[in-house]
Amino acid sequence: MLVAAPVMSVIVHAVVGVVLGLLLVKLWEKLAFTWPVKGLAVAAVYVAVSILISLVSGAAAPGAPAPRAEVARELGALTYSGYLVSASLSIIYGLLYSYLLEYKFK
Amino acid sequence: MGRALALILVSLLVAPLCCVQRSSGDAAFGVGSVEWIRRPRYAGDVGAVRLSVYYAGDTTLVGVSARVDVEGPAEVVGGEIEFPSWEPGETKVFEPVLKVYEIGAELRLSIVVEWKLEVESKSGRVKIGEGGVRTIAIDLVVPGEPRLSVLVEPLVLAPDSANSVTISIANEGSEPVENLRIDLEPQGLALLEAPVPLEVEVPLLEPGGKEVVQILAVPLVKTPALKVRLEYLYRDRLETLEVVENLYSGPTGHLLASAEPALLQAGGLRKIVVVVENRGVVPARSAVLKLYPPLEGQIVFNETTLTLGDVEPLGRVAIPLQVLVPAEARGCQRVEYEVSYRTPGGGHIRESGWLVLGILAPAELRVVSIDVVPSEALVNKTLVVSLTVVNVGASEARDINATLRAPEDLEVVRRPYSFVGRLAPQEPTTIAFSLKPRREGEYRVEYAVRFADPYGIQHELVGAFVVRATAPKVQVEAEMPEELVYASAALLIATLAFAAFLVKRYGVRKR
Repeated sequence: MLVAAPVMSVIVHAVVGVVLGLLLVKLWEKLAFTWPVKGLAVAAVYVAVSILISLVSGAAAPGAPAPRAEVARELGALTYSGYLVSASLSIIYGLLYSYLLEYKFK
Repeated sequence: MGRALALILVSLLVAPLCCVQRSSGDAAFGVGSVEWIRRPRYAGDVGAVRLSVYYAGDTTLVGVSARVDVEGPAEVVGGEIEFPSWEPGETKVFEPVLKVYEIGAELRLSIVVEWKLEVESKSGRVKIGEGGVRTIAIDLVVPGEPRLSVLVEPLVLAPDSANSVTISIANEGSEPVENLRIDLEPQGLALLEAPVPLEVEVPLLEPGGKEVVQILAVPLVKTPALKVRLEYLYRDRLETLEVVENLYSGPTGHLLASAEPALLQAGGLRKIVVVVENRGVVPARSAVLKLYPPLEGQIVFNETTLTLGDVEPLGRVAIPLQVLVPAEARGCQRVEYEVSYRTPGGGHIRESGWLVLGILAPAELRVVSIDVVPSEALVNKTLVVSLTVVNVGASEARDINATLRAPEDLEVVRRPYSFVGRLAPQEPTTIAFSLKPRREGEYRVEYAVRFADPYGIQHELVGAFVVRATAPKVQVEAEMPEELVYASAALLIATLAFAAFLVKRYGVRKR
């Protein structure tokens, strides 16, 4: 179960990325900006959707015991790091998505 | 004429008998004989005299009463005696009792005879006369009692042994005894170094004096006897006294030995006390107790010959002793003994018997170790407690069961008891329990091991130990999480820089 959780997270994010990519194609074409700016916009949407999914899954999960203070401190460091990495990956995703639409699939 | 002749003849016959007394009064009465039937032994004692008084008158006396008066240091005990008639020629016996206040004193007894009528029958005619009073006086000397006593010691003789027997003749009277002859005639006794019968002459035995005759005698029968005959002169009269002393030939001391305590525990050096009691009647001299432990037995004494010394009748002697009892010894061990001693008479006695020592081999359990795994108990983590029990006793322990009692927050997983069954001597066994602490803290856990020994006696071994439970520590596998944050931030900055570079290059709006 512990091993399957990261794999499921990657699959979920990949699916969300694909679906979000398909849904944002029209929006991307209507925006009158250069592709890096549109990539940042897509990244912002992706981050928002990811946070939304995270909140929804957290709310739907069975009640877990609240960790103790020292554990929460350690977990907090990991959470901040996760947020930063997620933001970085989202920007990379948005830029890559925008680049591919601009030069490869146009 | 005939009556007068008869009176003269009777007077002549009884006159020699009245050697010390003298009668007076009417010639019709006379004293035939005087005999002390009880002689006073000391001043204030009571004596009794038998007086035979005859009546030699012509008429029959009717309504006769008589009393005795005394002159001198004595008084008459008793009153007047009466009888209906006194025929001529009839002898009446008086036995006045005298309380005498001086031995050897001279007394005058007065017998006062009083009658109411005189009846005479002659030729078919009865002639009745008036009554009268007569007094008969007798002079007496209070003789006293010689009071010789014979004491034979000891009365119990040692069989098959030469016994020293002491015969003591003591003059407990107030006057000397002369020409005392002591004849000893043994019956069922063999006298050593002495003729039979043994005669001893003593010229004079003063009051308070004692003559001791010692003989060596070997009893030939179970109940021998010693006949002692004494002949002596007392107040110029030959007196005799014969005493037969019955003796007994048998155990004189009857020494009984016992061990205290009679129950010993197997496996070790034990201390006991051998108690020897004299339940006989004579002292046991120079007593020695010899123990004979059983040849096939297992117990060993540090000493087998015990010197007891003298043991008085009803006395006891206690000798401490050490007994080595092997762990394998069981049941009752019979130890024979022989006690030898000498009697005060010189006889040598040997008695035998046996001591009985009961050897108990109880089971004894000890908890030699208490292991708690893991050594640091964690909250909500099961820990195993192992009690290692060893039977250090000499016999098998049975019905062994152990129970554990823990506080409420220290849960005993599965069951709090364990049945072991039997455990042989020197055998260990481990009893395991599982515990799970629910909270942090220090818990006192009590255990009890109950078992029974082969004699059915229940034993209980109780104890306690302490379990300290702590919370488990969480191990975060990420190394240096702060650096990870910094790296992530650097990645984000780099990404943003790359995006800014692209925006700067391509511009914001399409051209």
